[in-house]
Amino acid sequence: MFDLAFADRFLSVLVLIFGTFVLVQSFELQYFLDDLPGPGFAPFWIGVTLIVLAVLIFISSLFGQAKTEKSPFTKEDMLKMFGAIGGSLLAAVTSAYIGLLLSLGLLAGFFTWFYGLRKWQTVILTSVLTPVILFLIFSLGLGVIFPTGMLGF
Amino acid sequence: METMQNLLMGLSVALEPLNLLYVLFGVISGVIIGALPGLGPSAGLAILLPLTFGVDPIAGIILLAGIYYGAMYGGAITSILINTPGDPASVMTTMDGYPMTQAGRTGAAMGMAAFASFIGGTVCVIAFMYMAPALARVAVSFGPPEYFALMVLGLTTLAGMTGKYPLKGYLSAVFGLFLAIVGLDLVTGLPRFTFGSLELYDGVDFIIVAMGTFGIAEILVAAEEKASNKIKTKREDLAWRKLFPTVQDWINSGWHIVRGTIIGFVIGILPGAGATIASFISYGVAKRTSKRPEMFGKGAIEGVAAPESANNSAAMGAMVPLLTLGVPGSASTAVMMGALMMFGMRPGPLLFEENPEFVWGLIGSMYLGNIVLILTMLVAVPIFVRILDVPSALLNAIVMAFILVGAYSINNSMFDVVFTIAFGFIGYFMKKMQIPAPPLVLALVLGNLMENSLRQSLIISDGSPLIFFTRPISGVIMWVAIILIFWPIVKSLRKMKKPAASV
Repeated sequence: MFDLAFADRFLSVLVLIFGTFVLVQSFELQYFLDDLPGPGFAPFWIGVTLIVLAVLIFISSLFGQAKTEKSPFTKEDMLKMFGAIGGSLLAAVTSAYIGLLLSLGLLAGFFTWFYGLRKWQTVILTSVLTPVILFLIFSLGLGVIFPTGMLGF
Repeated sequence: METMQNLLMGLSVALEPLNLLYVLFGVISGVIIGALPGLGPSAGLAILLPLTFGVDPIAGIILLAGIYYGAMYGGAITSILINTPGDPASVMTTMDGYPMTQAGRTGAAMGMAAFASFIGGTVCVIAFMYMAPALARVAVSFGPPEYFALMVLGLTTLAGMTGKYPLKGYLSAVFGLFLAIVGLDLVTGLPRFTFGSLELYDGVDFIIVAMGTFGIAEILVAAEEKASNKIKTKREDLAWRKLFPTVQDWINSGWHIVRGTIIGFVIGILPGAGATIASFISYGVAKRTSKRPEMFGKGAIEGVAAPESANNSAAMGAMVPLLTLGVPGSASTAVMMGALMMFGMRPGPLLFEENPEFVWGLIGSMYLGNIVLILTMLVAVPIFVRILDVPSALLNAIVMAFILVGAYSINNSMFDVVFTIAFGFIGYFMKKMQIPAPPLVLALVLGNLMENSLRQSLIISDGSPLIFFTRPISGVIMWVAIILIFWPIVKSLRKMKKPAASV
């Protein structure tokens, strides 16, 4: 089991890669324009700061408080999180075919089941009532037009 | 006299039936959101922000302000009932609120929390009303260098004061600045970090980031906790007459409410300090100055009154720099600033001159908001308690659907929905890694203004950065910002040395 310090080191590597990317991209934009900061000025300094922060976070992970803290990630938590994010992304993708309201209704039902309410009556009721409430508030109340699907709503 | 006239004008705006309805709706939904563990005022504002789309700016900001006050109070409900603070600013309320529930005094604790919030909030609106226009008059003379310095100060204080790891606070802020530069460069029109996506040409919408990192991330983290939210309070403990504190309760709490109000307002004005710190300090001061300090932690009613008056006062105090200087001092006010910009308003000193109806309407709604808050609490506490009995799985499902439909409503775009989910994913990892999200949102809101004022300042000075230090006001602000940047780093270096020395 790794500790928070290990996670911090991993984070610092990611930040270093990201900072380097921002820095490299900033070279394609003008740093100065008529002797004044151009569009590349801010990205350059953001890239530099990210790299410096990556190094500092790496160093502090070797000596700092994070060494005494447990890993914040467990397998069970990760599965829950990926399930929720995966379900939400699936709802976004399916909305093109079945409409946004219906896909969000199904997502609400999935969340209810996924997070522990396994009674089918509750799951079905959530799936039906959620899109109705959303329709009333956003469509009727605020005039938002939702993408419809093959069922026509 | 002029202030009173303006206030009357503001009250007439706030008392319009539709605006009154918005205050009521905002306060009630704010209380409910604030009461849900994990969802604080900033998450509440981010989640409910889509409800303001399409309404006029005054009604929109009145609704948001109502949510803000409501959520500030809502946090106390779960603190008192189930020993779980709804938001960080209510942590101190658990210390004596929950012991009061265990002793069968739930009603008195809830009532005192409501009255203390009302007193703190109302007194601070009066202070705000006199202080804000005066400060705005001074700030009118500010040029780009002063604004740049203020933006730096706003960012540094928040990054430095959030979380255990200051470096991670800065990382969050710099990531926010990166997001702020995505899109077309305002001066040259060149796309920056858009990766060929037309949707990114307008930049990254702060609402998407706020809903993802505050809303979705909170749901994901809260879903991992197995704690039961079941209310164990007897219904008779929440009877209407029991919500009124006794004369002895008032004698015990009176001065602590006054002190909490002053502490809260002063701390609320400081960028970055906010309601949480105000409630901690106020509780500490109350304990030190109490005639019965031994009762603290065992159900002392002043242990509820002091932090609750302080956190509501701080919420009001935080509106001062937001509206007069255009600098949000907390995550919640950052979301509100983003909303103001979305309404086409530019928070800052000119807001008072250019949109007096808007500003004074908001001030009028603050008065009404506090009155609505206390009336709502006295009438509807038992209903709110029932809402908390709804299983979290069901609440998570509804809130998630609400967030995603809100994300879609911003630009009628599925791209925004996917982007919000992506920021939920990022926000989850940030929470797990103890990287605070507020600096990210704050930097995103301030980033563009900061870059523009930097460029304008350098145009004025022919490219010399010394302009920020040679002008008196910007110079002082910059030096304060620099000290605040390095102070947390020095502190964490000292901490690192200590364990090493003890080995």
